[in-house]
Amino acid sequence: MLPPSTSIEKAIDYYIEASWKEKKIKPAVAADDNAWLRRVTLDLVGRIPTSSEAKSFLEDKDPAKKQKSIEKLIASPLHLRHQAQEIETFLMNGTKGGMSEYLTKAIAENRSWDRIFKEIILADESDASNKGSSDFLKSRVKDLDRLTNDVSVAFFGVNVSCAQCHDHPLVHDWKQDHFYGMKSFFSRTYEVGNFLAEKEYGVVKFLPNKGKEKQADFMFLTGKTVKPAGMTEPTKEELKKEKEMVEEWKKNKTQPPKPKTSTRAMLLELALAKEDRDFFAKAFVNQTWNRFYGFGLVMPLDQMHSENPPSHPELMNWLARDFADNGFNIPRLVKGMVSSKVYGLSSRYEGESTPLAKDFAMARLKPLTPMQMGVSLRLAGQFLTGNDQDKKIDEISKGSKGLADQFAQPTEDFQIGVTEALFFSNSNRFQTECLGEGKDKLVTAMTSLATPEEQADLAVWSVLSRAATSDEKSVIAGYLKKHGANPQDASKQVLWSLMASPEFRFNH
Amino acid sequence: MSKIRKNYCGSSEHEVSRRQFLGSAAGGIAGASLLAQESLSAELKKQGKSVILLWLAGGASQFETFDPKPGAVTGGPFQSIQTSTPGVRISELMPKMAARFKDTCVIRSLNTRNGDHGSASQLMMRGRKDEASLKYPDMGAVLARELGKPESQVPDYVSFYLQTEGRNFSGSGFLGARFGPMELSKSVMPENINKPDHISEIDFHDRMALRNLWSKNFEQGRVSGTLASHQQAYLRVNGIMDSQKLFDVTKEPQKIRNQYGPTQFAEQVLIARRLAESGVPFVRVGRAWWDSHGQNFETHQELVPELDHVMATLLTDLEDRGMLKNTLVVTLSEFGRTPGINSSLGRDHFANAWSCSLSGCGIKGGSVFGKTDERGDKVVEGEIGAARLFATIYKALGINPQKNYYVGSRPVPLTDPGTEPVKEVLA
Repeated sequence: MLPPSTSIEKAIDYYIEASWKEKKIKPAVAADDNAWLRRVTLDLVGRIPTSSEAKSFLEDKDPAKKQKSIEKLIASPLHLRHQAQEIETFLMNGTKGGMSEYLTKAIAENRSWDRIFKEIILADESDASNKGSSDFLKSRVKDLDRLTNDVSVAFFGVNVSCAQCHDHPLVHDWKQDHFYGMKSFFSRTYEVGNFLAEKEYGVVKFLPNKGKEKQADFMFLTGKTVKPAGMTEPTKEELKKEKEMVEEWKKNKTQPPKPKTSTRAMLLELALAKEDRDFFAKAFVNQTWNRFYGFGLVMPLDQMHSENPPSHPELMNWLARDFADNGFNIPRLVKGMVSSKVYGLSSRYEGESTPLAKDFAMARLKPLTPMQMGVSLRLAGQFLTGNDQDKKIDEISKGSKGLADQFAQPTEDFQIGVTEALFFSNSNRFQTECLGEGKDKLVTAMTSLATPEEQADLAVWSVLSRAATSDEKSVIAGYLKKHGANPQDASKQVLWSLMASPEFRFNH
Repeated sequence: MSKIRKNYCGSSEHEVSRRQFLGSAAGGIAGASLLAQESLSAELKKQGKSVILLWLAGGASQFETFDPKPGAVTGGPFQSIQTSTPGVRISELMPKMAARFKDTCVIRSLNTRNGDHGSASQLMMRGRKDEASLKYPDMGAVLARELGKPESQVPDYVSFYLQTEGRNFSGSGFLGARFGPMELSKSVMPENINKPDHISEIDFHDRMALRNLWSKNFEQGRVSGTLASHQQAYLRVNGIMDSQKLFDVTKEPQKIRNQYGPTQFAEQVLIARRLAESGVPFVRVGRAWWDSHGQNFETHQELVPELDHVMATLLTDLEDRGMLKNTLVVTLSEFGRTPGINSSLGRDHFANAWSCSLSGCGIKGGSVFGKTDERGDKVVEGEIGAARLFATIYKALGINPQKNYYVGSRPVPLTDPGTEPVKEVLA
């Protein structure tokens, strides 16, 4: 394995290039500057670059301009919001709840991933800085099976739901003992009014598909077990007393006291123990890799087990070690991932046989997330000038939720439906929010330009964050001339065609 | 429940099938590639098939529809009448269906064990319960996938649900937005289906042509299933917009409109027929307010004759048009109603012994499957749950109920592993 002193981007390039050599794969060329800037801006701050950002990047002759852009983007407040949203999506997708209050704060303070994990699982809001951290558990505590599986998927990349009913037929790692073992750690947790409480006792029993009912051990995915107190059933007297206490807490709306032994805290100890923290580190590395490279080192993301090895095992090991050794520092990992040459490859492949997704020899098309769509569409319809652009972008970004909600969250093998195309084509909302006229609006700026060629140039820079090719320029200019009776409408139609294009719809 | 997970795995041995699935999606010719996997005759059998689901939300009473028990303490005030099949009797509230019973099979032996509106609706729309981390597609999404064409110029899943009771339980689950329902919850006209006034036909067409040019340029050297679906979605826009005339009931001859009658439910069912006629594979028409915890008999006296009339008219209309052999009409609720009559003269939720009906395509008409006891307390013959009902519906349409979809590398059959269709119900 490469030494720990290697930078993340160098390690990525080293291992991926080695695999190309071995498989005799010719990678795609590097993406051009504008494609690269659009990609990294969408990935780090969740929006397209403005035309002025795109132009100045292109003109910048500094050989270190990419690295400088990454630094600048990561340092921006929009990055923190975007990062928090991305993590919220993968933690909370499919639940009705959110946890932006806590995550926004945690990310802004650059809390490490293991700390965030601890705070979410301990869910102790008595410390004001952890407000909202219990939302992960609260939104699932009514369904312990789901809670068990969601924790395993989100933090360990392991879907154990199959093992709920039977030992995994093909994956020897997962037995019913693992599912019920994981469930045991959460089985003492329950809701009292708006608070979470944890009992001092309680075990999980289950009916294996062979044999008699058995009591689950408190078992982590590695098979390691712990034995907390309270393995026996409480007496009737104790239960009665507990019931009274619960009524009391409910009535007074108070946070129930912490238990002497928290089994959730015991799970944390097992999961983060130096020799066993691999699951935890690898799951986040894989999740993050999937986010930036459009395809995990292990796919599906929730199938990280011995029968389904990573496409690049050494790289996975190296990244996981690096992440753990450096204190599970999120921005450090993010920065490394977007700094590699592999990240910067073109999404277009000119050669004969297109490489597979798991070869990472070309950039993968990533459908924009709802928020990326909402913010980018609204931004594309603007023509921002003056010194307070950052502030304006921030306002646009904050007001984009409604538009964002019109789009579906991408999943693996995502399919875009006709509803989206109809929304673009016929809705008033799209027309008003993306193709409005007036101050700071692109339609108005476009029509104020003298020639159709200049208008074409501005349209492509603003929507696609790059210069128009000469063909595009003449096609658009031709369109504007043909529809010249009403210049505003003609401009809107051109902008519509660009916004509805796949080049806009994807991070490419 | 435990059966659902029998085939779970992340093993590499499924990679080939998975790639076949992805490959077909990537080429935008999902139909063609899947065709290779199934036999040609099976594929031909599916062609031109449609389902119209009459969804009786809230839970219709089996006693006042398909499984009357006149004279029993649980029977209520209504009598039963003879149907066109000797020996088969249904509620006197359904004289028209009794007279044209020849295309219908009534299933009287559903035991689905779930009496909660929300989760029972999901169960009866999906044929199974969601898993912790897997959302199943509902019947409409599966049929959109199975019977629809990728390039189809009509919607492939339309859902009318104008009442407020019991909404929000349909969905395409892991099949994704492509197969999700076109939901009509505010009016019978779909959202964003009409060209806005601010753009002329010509301009609308021109800007789409411009978009398609950008799309063609972008696709050079790039292959992705999602990219193909994006282009496919825009190619379908004109056809879908054109299909708005299908939703306009005034386009139907007055004579036919009179036959169906003037109610909202009747109009929606008529629109459903128009859609099926134009190749829409799945239409659900939701009719709410069956949840008769109080005044069960008045409620059913009002709702059942409407259902009877509309359903009988639909079947006759389909038959007249030669469509009945290819159209399956399903009447279904989330559950039935209790044998016991409560103090408000209502019947409560009951999922242990209730009824539904299947008519038309692939169904043995004029028949009854299953039996409840004298009071309707329990099933005594032919007990089935949601899974077998779904397997039967799929089989009637020529679809293999054990066909696999792939979620990641995991094969997920259309119905729970090992589920057999009810052959007595099938033609």
